[in-house]
Amino acid sequence: MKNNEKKDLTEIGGMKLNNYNQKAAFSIIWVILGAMLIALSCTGWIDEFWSGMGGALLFVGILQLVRHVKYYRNEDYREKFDTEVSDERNRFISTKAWAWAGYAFVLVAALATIAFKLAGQETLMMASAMSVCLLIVLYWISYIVLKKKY
Amino acid sequence: MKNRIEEIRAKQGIRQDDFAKLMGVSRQTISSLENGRYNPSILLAYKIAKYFGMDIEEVFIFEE
Repeated sequence: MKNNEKKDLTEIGGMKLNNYNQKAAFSIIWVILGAMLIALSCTGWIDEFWSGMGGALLFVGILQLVRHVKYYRNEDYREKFDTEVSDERNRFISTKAWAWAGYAFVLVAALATIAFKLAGQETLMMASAMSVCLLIVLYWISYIVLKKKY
Repeated sequence: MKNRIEEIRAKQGIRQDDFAKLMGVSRQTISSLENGRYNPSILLAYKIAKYFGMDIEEVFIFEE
């Protein structure tokens, strides 16, 4: 057995230790990146837009870190979290929700395309139409890939 | 698809919470299965039937 395979056998709850460490490391990277963006924006080195982006990264990073620490220390939370993540009904609901969101997006964007055309907003009309096209292209790519897989 | 999960589980005196833990799913999933709102995967159906010591057809009633 290779060394990395040996390491993979060490688990915290349902999550392998390597994955856990990787996720925690990513959270720390988000926090550092977010703080850097805010600092650079405050000192006027970069645009204000990036401070908003930095704030979001900082918030997500801290939230993820708190969750990681809770997962690591609290056995009840770990058990509950693992069950929620692996629960087949939750996965089914999540997949269905994405499908509904996709249909809703196409419908809204198609209606917006017509509305923008009628209002003479050519740029917005094109952006809206292109977003519908992009989603349909992505759907067909996903369909072909999944058809080959299953 | 109908099923006899609630009936068999009650007969064996297992709480929904405990049964969910044994099957590795949430309590809501067991509740949805028992109410017929959700049909399980073949793996979960097999696991449930195996736990009860029965065949899948004895627990799950297929209807066209």
